[in-house]
Amino acid sequence: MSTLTRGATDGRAATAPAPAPARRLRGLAWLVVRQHRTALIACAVAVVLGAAWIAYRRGAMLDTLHGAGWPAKPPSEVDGNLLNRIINDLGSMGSSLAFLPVLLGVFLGAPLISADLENGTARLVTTQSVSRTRWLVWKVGFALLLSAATSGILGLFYAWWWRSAGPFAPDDWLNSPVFAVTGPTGVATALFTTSLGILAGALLRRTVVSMAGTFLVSGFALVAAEMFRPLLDSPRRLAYPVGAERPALLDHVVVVDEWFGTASGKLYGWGTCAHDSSPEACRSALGIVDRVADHYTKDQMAGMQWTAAAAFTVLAAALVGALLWRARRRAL
Amino acid sequence: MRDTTTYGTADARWALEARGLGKRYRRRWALKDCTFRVPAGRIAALVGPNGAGKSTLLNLATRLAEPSAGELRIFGAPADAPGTMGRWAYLGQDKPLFKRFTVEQTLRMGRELNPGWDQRAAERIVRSGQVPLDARVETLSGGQRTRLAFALAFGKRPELLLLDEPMADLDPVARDEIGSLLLSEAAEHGTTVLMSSHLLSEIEDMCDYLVVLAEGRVRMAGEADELVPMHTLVTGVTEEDALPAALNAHTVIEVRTSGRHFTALVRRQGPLQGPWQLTEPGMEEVLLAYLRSPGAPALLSPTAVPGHREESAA
Repeated sequence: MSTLTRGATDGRAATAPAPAPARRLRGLAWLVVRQHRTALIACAVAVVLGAAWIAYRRGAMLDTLHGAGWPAKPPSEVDGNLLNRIINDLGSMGSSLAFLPVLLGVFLGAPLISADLENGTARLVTTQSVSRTRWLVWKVGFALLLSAATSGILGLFYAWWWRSAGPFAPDDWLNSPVFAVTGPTGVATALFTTSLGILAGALLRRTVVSMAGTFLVSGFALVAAEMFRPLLDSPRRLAYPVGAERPALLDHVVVVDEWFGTASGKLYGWGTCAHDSSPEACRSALGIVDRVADHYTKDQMAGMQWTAAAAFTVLAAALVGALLWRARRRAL
Repeated sequence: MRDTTTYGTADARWALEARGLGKRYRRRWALKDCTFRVPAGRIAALVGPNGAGKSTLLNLATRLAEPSAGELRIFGAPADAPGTMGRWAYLGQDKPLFKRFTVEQTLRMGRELNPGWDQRAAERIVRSGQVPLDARVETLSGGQRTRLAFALAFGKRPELLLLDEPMADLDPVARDEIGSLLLSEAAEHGTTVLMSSHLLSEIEDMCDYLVVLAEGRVRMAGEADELVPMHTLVTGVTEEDALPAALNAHTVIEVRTSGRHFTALVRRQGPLQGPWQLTEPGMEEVLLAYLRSPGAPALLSPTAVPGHREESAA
């Protein structure tokens, strides 16, 4: 050791031990926050920047709409290009936010325990006077809280923007990110992906491997969740006579399927008789009198979101439960 | 030494007590049927070749692994009893620390996670090694890191200190420094120490109690002062290329022959008589002989056998 540092430390050692600074955080809370300071700051920055960006885009959108004469003029008179731009803006921000749970799982969940296993600090902490279960509960609790707060706050801001768009927001809520990002779904999805990452890290014990695994599995799970989303509730069915005009109701709901129907309720596919020389005669020969539209209405959205959120939360709880159960039975 | 009677039970006199302890990893037993004990207040060496089960034993004591068979008691209480964690401290071979923490934050972690934390003792150990408190752990040298790990362990105020090759990666100067730190701190607080090590000379200097493991079993355990004098190094001439029959009355631990001459380490079972040259072996020679001959019969001094409470209680 150099004499320079020796002198410096002697100077420090000469003074009496300084009184300990006031401790706002104690015990494992302090350790977890100190150890994951970077993740905490990264999430805070993401929330602040994301919220500011949404607020800015929303303001710009309203300015343009007001400039175009809305709400004094009816929405239908607003320029179609402007409408497209709004839909694109909402869509691209929504897609980014829909990807957020995957990022949280990969960068917050996966390294949470695997990094400690890799560096040996899991052994360091669990050979102090705290049991590994308590340590895990604090770490997992911290990660889930951070993940839920990040996705929850950004989800609220996004919902605020979406609501302000009023009649200009896309009608298809079922297949747009708004379903996955806002309300309880965003938070529950983040809880699921984070828990998935945590458990993967504890089982695979390697940070990079568990990050890759979490990325693949959570990405796959989110795509699957989107595919199976219509199963969360049954669509409503509207029948109207073949010759009649399409009811205005159908313009603002999510139509998922259309059929031809007979008076007795028998359904034929939308393409029935389409290639016949006289489609009308062909259809009336089959007894078709109605057009039928299966659709989801806006009031179904909240219920479906809660159902999806409940499913993700149950999955998250199962993953965390498996982790704690395993830690109780055997060493990490 | 600490007044051990305050713990109420006589068992508190035994820092570590293993009965039929075993640990199996898949098909292989890393530790099998281990029965021994370490009295409180000793500096005990845990000796054995690589893979003998030393780390496994320390992991079982610190609950980093669960035993597959038998039981392990720390000061009379099962190793997994709730209050036991505060009574021991553990220092792993790689001495893991949070690299991004400063020295001060590392000590704070000790304070936050241990109810009986002794900040003064921990800071004294760090300061006496000229380790700056505001330095990040990743910038410290190997010796400084080990010193910090020791400060963390001693700050816990353990009654039993479990060390897994604590000085293996240190240079001679740091090793000497850490060794004397360990001995002085242990003497000051009456801490029992169980340390695994490959350095036999280090053990001879520091330790007064031995636990020798080979192939997952206890080969020798007890007071060094008792065990070593039970052995004699015999040098003589072979009879028809074999050991003289007169030696068979004793337990031969290890024999080496060169030409017609043999050198044998024997455990005496009575007076040794014969045309041989007898020398008192050192601890290192005895340990080496046991390590080289895992087949030799195990030797446990009465203190090291659980159940021999009465005669060794004094």
